[in-house]
Amino acid sequence: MTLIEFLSGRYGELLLKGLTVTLQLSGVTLAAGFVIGVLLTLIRLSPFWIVRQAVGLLVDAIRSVPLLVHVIFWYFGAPELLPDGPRMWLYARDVNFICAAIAISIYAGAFISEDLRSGLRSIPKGQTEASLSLGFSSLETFRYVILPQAFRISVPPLLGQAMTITKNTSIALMIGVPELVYQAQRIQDITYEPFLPYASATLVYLAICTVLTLASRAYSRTAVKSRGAQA
Amino acid sequence: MIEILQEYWLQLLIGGFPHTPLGGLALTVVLAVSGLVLAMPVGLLMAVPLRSRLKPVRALAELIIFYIRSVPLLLHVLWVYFLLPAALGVSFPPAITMLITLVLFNGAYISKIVVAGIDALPRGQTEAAMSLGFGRVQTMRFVILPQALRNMLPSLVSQLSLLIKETALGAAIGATEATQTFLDLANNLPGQAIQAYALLALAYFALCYPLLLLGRRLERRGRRTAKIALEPAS
Amino acid sequence: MITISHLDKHFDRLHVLKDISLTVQTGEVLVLCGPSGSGKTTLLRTINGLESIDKGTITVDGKTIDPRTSEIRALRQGIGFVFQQFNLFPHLSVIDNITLAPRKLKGLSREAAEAKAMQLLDRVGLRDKRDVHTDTLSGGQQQRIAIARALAMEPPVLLFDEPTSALDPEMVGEVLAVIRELAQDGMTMLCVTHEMGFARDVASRIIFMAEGAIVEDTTPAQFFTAPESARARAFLQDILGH
Repeated sequence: MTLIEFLSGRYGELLLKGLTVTLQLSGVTLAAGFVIGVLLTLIRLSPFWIVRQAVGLLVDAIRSVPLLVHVIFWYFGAPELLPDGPRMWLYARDVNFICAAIAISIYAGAFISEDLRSGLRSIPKGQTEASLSLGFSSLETFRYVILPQAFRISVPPLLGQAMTITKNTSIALMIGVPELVYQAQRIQDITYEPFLPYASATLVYLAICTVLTLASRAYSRTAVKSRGAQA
Repeated sequence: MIEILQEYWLQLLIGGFPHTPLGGLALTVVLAVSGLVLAMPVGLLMAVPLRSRLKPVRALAELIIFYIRSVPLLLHVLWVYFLLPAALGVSFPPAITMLITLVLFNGAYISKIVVAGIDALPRGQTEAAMSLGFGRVQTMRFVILPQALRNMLPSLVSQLSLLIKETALGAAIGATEATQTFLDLANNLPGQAIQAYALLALAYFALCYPLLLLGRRLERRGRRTAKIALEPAS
Repeated sequence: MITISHLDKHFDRLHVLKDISLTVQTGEVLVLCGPSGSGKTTLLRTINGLESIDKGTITVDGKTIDPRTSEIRALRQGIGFVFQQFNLFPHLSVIDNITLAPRKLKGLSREAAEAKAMQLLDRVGLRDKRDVHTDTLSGGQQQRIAIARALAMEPPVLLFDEPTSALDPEMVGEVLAVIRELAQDGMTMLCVTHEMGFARDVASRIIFMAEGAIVEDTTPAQFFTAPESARARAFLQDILGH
């Protein structure tokens, strides 16, 4: 059986379903992870030492534990802690997907907050001083001078995170989320033949990463060009 | 949580050893450390074509590394688990399958770290060595690599903590490392599962967090020495 | 218009400013000089509230400078500051660098702010750089834009912190020429600099500092021909090489 024949049948359909779930899970976790990352970063700008330390430790702790363990914790462990009402609500829905999304979002959020923070820290102190010396408040300085620069610096690492998150969603198969690799495994269980399903899944990831890599390169190029061309 | 620890600490630490192959946290550490040790020479070897003077060689090496980095580790694990035995006609125990995957996967990342470490050195180093009469290989061996390896140290420490986390995927193919061991335990302790998982998270934290701090400290120190070295003597 | 009295400041255990008192009248051009570590940059930064002080007071136009209060922002709008490292905003074009503060802080419309900015660009001789990104400019050009940015808020007084120290030698002249012109137009200025030729021509007063204290406060003629203190003589000998 060739790859084309393989993909044009019902196995292709299963893989397409898997890809849809992978993309949904990636999209949801990228968005939620970004929000969590921004929130964590903002809290880490707190004037209170103890708050900064506590959130810093939390971020480090999240990053120190394998994503699989996060997923296991949120799927097998956390619902036990819920009162009956919310737990029933959760189990009436796609509990696997929801728990995987929560775990991956939190994990991704911790990494994104690190990216954003190093983006913030790479902005020289002189930028703040120049803005203050013009009469801007700290908040205005952050809003008009620091934040736009931090986001610009953070775009390539964020695209890198998008790639990592997409790959990481495969771990959701361990709690039965029917994403791409899960479907490949399922096809293997039916056909007893691992090569074609895994090759197909691999090609899909290669395609996704190629697109994201090209986007990242295009961004760096236009960022350089927009400055170079106007000189 | 304390009770679980009192009751099962030995099992969590080493699995069923010596009645079964080594498992538990010990297997996690052994896999991660041996994975890193073996991935270093692989990474160095993969760095050679990355810095080749021939463009097709470089492009091919980049392509292979792009492939390794674009595919989820879990999928790599499944490839090695199902297809290596098919290709070679011998099957490996899950722990060895995991080790092979980790070495290849991390080799690709380390090769990039090596190249970055080499590129970070000032051109003057190569030129100075060449001007003394060293050849390309000798320059690399005696002047560039020793310095590059020192620059790489913080990245390698971070890599070790990544490896520790990556070993958890052994659970996908039944390697009895920490995560699998705790999962088995949690199955036997209905009602206490969440405590077992919290304990598992704590165990990884205890392993990885010190490495995270060490990596950060080394990086800071590296930056400081680099700055001192670059500042002109006035 | 600026009154500094009994100013004291420590960096940890280092006593960087020792009982500084100084009065500056409108239209005066003060050059602050002295060996490195003498506290001149720190003194300048306290006037803009970029450094806190331990003791003493600074008033500008009768209003007290205190970085801990919220009035400091309004006061800073009236005290332009030009940095050694320019500190232009790299995410903004030249024109946006100049108009950001007038638009956001004074509520000027974009048109009004840009019209004003174009006048300033004319003044610093960089009209054609309007839409350029700042990191394509030479150091001298960046510093001239930074001066225009400070002037856009129409401050009655301008502070310069070693404005030419980060520049290649061939670019020092173009920046000093702009500052010289401002002096001729009657702008009140304090300038920390090692450019002694410029100091001699432009300054109305020379403040010589050493080890955190004002050692001499005198006219350029007096300072360059017959400095009173041994420290000033040694400094001039070092810097002028004779």
